[in-house]
Amino acid sequence: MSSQHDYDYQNAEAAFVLANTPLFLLRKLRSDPVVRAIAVDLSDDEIMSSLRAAVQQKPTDIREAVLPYLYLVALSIKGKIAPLREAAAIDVPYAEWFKYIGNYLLKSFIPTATVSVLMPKIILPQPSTPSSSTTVKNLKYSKGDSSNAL
Amino acid sequence: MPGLILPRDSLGLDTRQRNHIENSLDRSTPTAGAIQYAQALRRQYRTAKQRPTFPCSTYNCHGLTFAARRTGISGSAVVQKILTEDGYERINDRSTVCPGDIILYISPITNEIEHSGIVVDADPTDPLRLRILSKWGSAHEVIHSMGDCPYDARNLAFYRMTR
Repeated sequence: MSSQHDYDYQNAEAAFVLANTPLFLLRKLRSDPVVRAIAVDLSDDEIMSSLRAAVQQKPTDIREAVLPYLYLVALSIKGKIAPLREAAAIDVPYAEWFKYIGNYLLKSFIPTATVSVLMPKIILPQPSTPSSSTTVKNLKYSKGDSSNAL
Repeated sequence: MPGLILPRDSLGLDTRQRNHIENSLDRSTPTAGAIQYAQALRRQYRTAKQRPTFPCSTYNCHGLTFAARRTGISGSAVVQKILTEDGYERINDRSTVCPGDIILYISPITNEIEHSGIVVDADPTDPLRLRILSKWGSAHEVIHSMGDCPYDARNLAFYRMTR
């Protein structure tokens, strides 16, 4: 597990300062590679635990103020409805837009699934590398999106 | 007897049709981080005129544009309500935009009104050379060129109140 201190929150902090509306903040956080990294690195339980810790006290700086939103969006990226619903229901007295963004994410939720598929290896003329004839690749796609289905 | 002053509050603000304008007035002092980011913006946008106002969450861009800096307005639907119920008219010919008109920055992705400001200078011979007074989130007020700001300027709309 990565500690929250391993991440660079500058983009998220800047988005928080510039945000005039909750959906601007949401859009910026969704496109922030750090938020995506947190969604990949941490489990649902770890994000929930970090979220609960982040909303305990009144924020004293920008980072503490943006962290609840950041964890909420990371949970939404993970693609499971139950943890997202649980997170959106948390009482967050110091994050004014938290409920709005949580409800918006729940309304616009699209479940995702991770599958492993065997893909044929593309053989290039050179350089030659010792490898097996197939490679395993993890792909993520939306259940409702047939354009990405294999 | 004076009313109770709360750090976070909402004002009794109505449209001309007497419907409440949802708003949020946050009187808390800005953190050191917010001040640092505001200073970074001042350095980054050198051609903009940075007004001598402090970072604050008392009002935001929509609060500046539609509520005379009294409070913050954050919902896109609330701004739409103000435009409709206060009688703003959309300006379709950009060459007619003049100081006093309203500019809206609408996200091409979410269709959300993400930013607003007041036109303070316009060149009728070049509709792209508009100067805008706006507040950048919880940072300070800035007078900037239409596209020289941290908001997506690909989808703009202009409005005017004529009476």
